[in-house]
Amino acid sequence: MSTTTLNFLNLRAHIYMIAIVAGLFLAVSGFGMPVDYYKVEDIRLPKNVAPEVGGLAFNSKGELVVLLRRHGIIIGTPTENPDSFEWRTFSDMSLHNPMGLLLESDHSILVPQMAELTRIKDTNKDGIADTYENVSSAFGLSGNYHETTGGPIPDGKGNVFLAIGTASHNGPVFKHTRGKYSAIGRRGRNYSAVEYRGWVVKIAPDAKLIPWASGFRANNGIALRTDDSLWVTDNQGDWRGTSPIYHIKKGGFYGHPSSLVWDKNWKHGDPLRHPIEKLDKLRTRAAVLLPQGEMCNSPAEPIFDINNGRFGPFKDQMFVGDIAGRRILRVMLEKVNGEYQGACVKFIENSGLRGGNNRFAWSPNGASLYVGQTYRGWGAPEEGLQRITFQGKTPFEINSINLTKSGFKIKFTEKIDPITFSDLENFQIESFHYDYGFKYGSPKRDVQSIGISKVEALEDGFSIALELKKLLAEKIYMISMRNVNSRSGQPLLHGKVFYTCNHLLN
Amino acid sequence: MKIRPHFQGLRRYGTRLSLLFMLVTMMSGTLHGQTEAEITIGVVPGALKFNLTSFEVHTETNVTVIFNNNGLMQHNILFVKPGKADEIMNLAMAMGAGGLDKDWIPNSDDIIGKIPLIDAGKTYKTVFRSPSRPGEYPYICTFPGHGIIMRGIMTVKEKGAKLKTPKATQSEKIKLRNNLEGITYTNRPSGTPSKPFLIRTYMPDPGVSETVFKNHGKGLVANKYSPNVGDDVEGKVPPIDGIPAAFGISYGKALSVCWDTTECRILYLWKDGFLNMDAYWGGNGGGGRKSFDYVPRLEGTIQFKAEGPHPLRIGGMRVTPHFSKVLLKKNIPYFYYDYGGAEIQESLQLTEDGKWQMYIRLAATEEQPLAYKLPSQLVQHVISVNGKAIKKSENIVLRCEADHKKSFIIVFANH
Repeated sequence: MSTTTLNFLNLRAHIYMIAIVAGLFLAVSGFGMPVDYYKVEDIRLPKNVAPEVGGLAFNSKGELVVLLRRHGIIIGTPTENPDSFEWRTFSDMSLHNPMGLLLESDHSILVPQMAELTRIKDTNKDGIADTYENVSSAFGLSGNYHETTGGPIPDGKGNVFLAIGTASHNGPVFKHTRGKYSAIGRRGRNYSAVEYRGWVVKIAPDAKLIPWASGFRANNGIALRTDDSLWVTDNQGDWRGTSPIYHIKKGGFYGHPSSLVWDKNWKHGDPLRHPIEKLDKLRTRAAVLLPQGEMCNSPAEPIFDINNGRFGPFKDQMFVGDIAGRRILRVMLEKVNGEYQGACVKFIENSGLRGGNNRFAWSPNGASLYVGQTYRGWGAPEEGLQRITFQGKTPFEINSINLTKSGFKIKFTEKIDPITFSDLENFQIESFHYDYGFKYGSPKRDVQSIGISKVEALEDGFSIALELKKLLAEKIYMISMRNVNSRSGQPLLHGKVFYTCNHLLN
Repeated sequence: MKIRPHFQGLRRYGTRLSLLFMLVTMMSGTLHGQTEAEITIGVVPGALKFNLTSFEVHTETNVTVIFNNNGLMQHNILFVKPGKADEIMNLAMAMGAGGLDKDWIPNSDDIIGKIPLIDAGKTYKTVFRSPSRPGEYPYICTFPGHGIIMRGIMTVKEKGAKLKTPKATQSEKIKLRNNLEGITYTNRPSGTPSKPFLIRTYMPDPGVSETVFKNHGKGLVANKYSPNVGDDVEGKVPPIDGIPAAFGISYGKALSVCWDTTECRILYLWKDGFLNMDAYWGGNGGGGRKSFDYVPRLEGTIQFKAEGPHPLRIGGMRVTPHFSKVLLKKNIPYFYYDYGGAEIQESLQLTEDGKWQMYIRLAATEEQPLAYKLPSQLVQHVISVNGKAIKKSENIVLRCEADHKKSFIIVFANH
């Protein structure tokens, strides 16, 4: 049995994580965000707590609420000096693998635990929680370490979404399970022996559970965009060639079959015995795929930049933390034929950032991203709380990437140098795809070098248009740009981008 | 002639670690005309390291390696040719999901000795011939993630050269990559009578009667599944003992409680200990998943285990309880649940004179009375109910008429 799997992770991610860490010993990474643009600081937590962060949020007083794996909830008063936050305890009940928090008010916090969505309240307002309400326990728990419950994400109408993870065959079920047990659901590598494992569910204000979308594996990241679209990240593994980011629609099936045993409309018996071709047709593809080993090994919470430039030039874009790597990614989305798809690029790698990047919160002034880190008892500990602050100077980066009829239009954050950007030698494009199936992860398939027929600097001074000799749907396009500069001579900080091209423009 | 230089520094390292002592001995000399060496390798408790990171042998020696996996994870050990550790580690990683079936041992001529993947708590012995060429031969655990730090060097010296006595490490402070130095937190949390410690976790099941788990599902033996084959393979995976959704409460040495949110009742009481969280929380430094399960280990002596169906009846019937909340009143937990529309509160606490007492409040519905039959194993310990002394042989049924509320305080002797 694997003994080193993080709750919501997978062995493959572990392998890559270690490979990445090993790489650090061997070579200095060429990537990383110079501190000129974003500063990374360690925030000092109280000495007596294990720094395993499961949730972060700012309350109405501008205090930082930190959910810990062992020690409940602490609240800190942020200071400019990262060492001098003052901390107090809000709740010292040790919660069961809590993976997210939602402040309903300064005195009421929703926290998902393995077995329960819990409302933690300070009813007498003395600063210490005194009431722990069972908001919902309408989902099962078989006794497996991998059965995480993440969220809660409010939909703005009083409901919250929860991301309910599957169990792993590297762990057990109990003789007595919470919720009814399905022997069919128990089959498989990652499995769904009890209700709604591998689902996103909605909990209504009257505590009713509404199954929302199925087909998830280790969905340790869920967020709502300002346009009310719902997003979930998942981890590479069985039925996951690489780690995906999904746009979630009600009733959707997102590829991992085991959860289907709890779909009352499912009439085909054991989902693992259903033909893969049929499952493939049934599933919704990821809006963005994060190539394992190259971009992200274990994506966690996504967060959207709502700061209107106070955190830099990436307004409305998604940031995703990697638990198994010292990096945060940036995701650029667009709608093609009415469906979301898009690209990922590294936002920050190394530069003082730790691994374990699990949960995020924006500072009230919008200039800082707080990063809660944890390995959940897995691998060498890289855990704690860090703060990434925009330094006011625009980094030279890819700002957006859009599919065109014949290739891509890429816009940068600064005006570009037309000479370096017109040299085809500086561009390399590959297309590939991943298998869909029961095997754990997938190598890249059908890797093809794609010829570029034309690169053109556009009139706005910020953008280029790339024309490709071949452009197909259901492929990932890796576009690598090297030796390209801004007009002022700055090199492009992160020139490798992966665009998931599910659809071509009609 | 046998030489057995016991390594220095074998000393008591606290009672907890005393069970994890590794004996590292080296035997070198001639036995039946052959040169032999015997090495015992263990694991540093709480760290992803071998306790022996270097030893020396002579060329062309039969090296007996005893791997005593006193850690809490699986490990293998591969002895490889000089400079080949990284290569072998990467080959093992490249085995991907299929690696586990092959003990993470890749095919390579650079491996000169091997110990397969050994479960925690198990010991394995292998013998291999040391190379004829002197040099530094690394050994490494190739379980993915371990190989970077879980390493050692076997130095092979010419025959006749003096060999150093191997030195084993017993423990080490775990270095955290954060800004906190000297952080300490225990994997054996505990509370006090006035400030009990509450935890939600998978709870151990010390053999609570089947008859108690009426509202649980039943986990079954499953076929082993291979993600490579995409189907069931030979082998069975049985369900294990554990309570999925209970509270553990520590009042200190005198009382620990397991209160279950699914059955809405006390499942068991114990004393003189609480929980060892290693299996769930991992090592003190936070890293290192520790076991197949994530079930803390119960420590102490069981005083009471629930039996039979729920002690409560409403209108003479049993219904499915629903846990609604826990309130902390002056730090003492009060568990609230719904029983067919009736609100029930339960709490346990220690009295100042060392006894413990149970508080039960029944708020019956308009239509139905409530009756709470105190478990017979507890009745024998009851001293009083609401201040009224109780004879030990009596059945104790707490009753609350329809549309009434009633509180009971039951005091128990603490045995």
